[in-house]
Amino acid sequence: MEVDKGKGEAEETRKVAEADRDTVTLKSSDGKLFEVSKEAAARLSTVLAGMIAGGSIDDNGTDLKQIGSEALENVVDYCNKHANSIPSAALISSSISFNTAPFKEPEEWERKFVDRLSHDALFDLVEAANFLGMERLLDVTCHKISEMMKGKSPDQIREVFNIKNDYTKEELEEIRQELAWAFYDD
Amino acid sequence: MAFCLSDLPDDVLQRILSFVPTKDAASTSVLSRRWRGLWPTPARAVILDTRSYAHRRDVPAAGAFFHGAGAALAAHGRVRSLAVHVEAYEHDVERFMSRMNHSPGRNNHRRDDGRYVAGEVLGHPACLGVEELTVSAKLPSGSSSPETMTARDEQKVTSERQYVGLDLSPPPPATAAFPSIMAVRLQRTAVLLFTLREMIAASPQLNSLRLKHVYITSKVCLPDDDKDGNSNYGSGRYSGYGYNNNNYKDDPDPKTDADRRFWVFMKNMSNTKFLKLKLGFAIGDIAIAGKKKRHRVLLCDALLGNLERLEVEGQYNPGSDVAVTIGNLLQCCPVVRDLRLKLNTSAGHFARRRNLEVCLGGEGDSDDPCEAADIPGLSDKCLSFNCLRGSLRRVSLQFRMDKKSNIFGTQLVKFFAEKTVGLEEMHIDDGNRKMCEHINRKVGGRRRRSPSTSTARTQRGFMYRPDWTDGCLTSVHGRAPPPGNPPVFAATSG
Repeated sequence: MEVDKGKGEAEETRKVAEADRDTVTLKSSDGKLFEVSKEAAARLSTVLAGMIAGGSIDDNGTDLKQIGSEALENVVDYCNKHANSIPSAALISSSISFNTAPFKEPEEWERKFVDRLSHDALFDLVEAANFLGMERLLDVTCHKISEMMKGKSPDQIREVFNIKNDYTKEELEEIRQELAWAFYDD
Repeated sequence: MAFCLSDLPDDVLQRILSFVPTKDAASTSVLSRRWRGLWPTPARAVILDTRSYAHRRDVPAAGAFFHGAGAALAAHGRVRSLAVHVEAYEHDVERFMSRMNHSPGRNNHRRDDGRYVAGEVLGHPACLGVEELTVSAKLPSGSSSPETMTARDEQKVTSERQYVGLDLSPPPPATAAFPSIMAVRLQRTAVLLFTLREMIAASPQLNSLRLKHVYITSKVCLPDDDKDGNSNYGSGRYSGYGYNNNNYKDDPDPKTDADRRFWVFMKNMSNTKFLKLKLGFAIGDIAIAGKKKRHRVLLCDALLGNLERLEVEGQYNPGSDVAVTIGNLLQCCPVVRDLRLKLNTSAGHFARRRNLEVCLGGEGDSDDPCEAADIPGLSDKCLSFNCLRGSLRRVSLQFRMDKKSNIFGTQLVKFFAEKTVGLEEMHIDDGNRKMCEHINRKVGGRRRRSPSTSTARTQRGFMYRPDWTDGCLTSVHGRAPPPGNPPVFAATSG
């Protein structure tokens, strides 16, 4: 209901002043421009919400120097898909917070969204989500990484995630003693 | 250049670790110096997963599992969120749980039958402040996520009786034994009715309870008790309640006992604000109709006096008392705001009943041969539903039914559209859209035939605003018009 109202109002204002648009333009570190709905950006990203509220949005492209074009494309894609996946904003914005859990399981489309990403793209997206304060996207991407870690031995994890072991033998032994229960049957 | 996971900031790495089963998460300390000290994470979430202990053997080792659980809980000091997942083949689960005899019950009331997993863990002092509890069991499958399970897997799970025993009874004295628990999710868990009730009673903060394929028994059913494979678990794949009449000859007929057990169970949820029931059986089975005494004993107004959102999913069998059940539920929920019903037809039942003519017309249509039949059990004059007069704002109806049963769906749409005073939004989803066509025709027909109905609707301050997609009605939005403005009946064809 609120979304409908917001759209209606946005259309009104667009007629009045072209400058007051309902999308924001974001500029990646390599200078590519992306458009995203102002409403979705404000709802999904605390940083963009702050910029929109604070008026620091540049119509010619708000510079996001920390985010590459591929990651920013995924961010914008996620915002658009998120907006489309909501059957009714009114049902979602129900006055009852029915799930007190900070994180719900990823939905089917979110799973597919992160599944198709390469490792590098996934990590870039994690950084972008973290930078933009996108809690949900951060959860979904981190959840994906956690699934890649599940059931793997430390050696396997090092290999998959490109981690260099910089412990000495003695230090390793010490930690293994300390957390012996976590290394059962390794 | 390949990205190194260690380059991510601490809080992101800890967020990742908070989704990893605790044993695997703790062992990341040895990855590199960068990873030391990240675990335990500030999320204070403990995930105990038997899969972490089954790398080299098929049977999860119960001793190691509980040793690890204790160590993990102790390391967190105060746990906020606890999840227990047991995954193994059926006989493995039984072996797994029968090994638990290694720690005989310290409490006299706890049965020493090796059926309890989560109860053992919940007794740990670190769990005193747990706010979320999740317990689930499942068969190993190719995929790691329970969401991707196919219907066949589900069937297999059901037939193989894949349940984790759960003793949630708080240690005596049972005064607010779980003072902080706010959310509980149980999946494929066998739980004693009375321990679940005690647990709910001992959780004053509880506002979210999710039961999925939970088998609620009135008596403990030991794995060894029915080796003949002739057990009743097949029909016990219910969320909300289960019954078993196989192992105990003194059990009453499950058909008559099922409704009683369901409502007795409901009595203990008066503090709950959000309730989602996914029933694997005919919703009508739990109807309480007619019998006055039984009605009074099992149901009372405001049984679920704090419930704000109710979701019910179950089978619709023509000829069963679905309407009565819905009426029972409405009667119990005086302040419910958001109601979602999801009805499925079970195959083979739909041919029994003849088509009833139904339309969305109001009372003014009495000369209309298409006048909708009122729903017995819902539309009876003697029944009054406080929630319809006051709190109810949103109704969502989802049907997966055959064409004939859609008549009932249409009746329900009519009922909620007309009787709910403060209705703001109504969603109808019928999957294959057969019902859309039905409503479509009726709405259009009524509009042409009797314009007076829109006046009748006006008096209730409600209007239809159908969305048309591909010429089909997919949802009906009702909005209370602003005071003074005449509402517009906005049905248009696509």
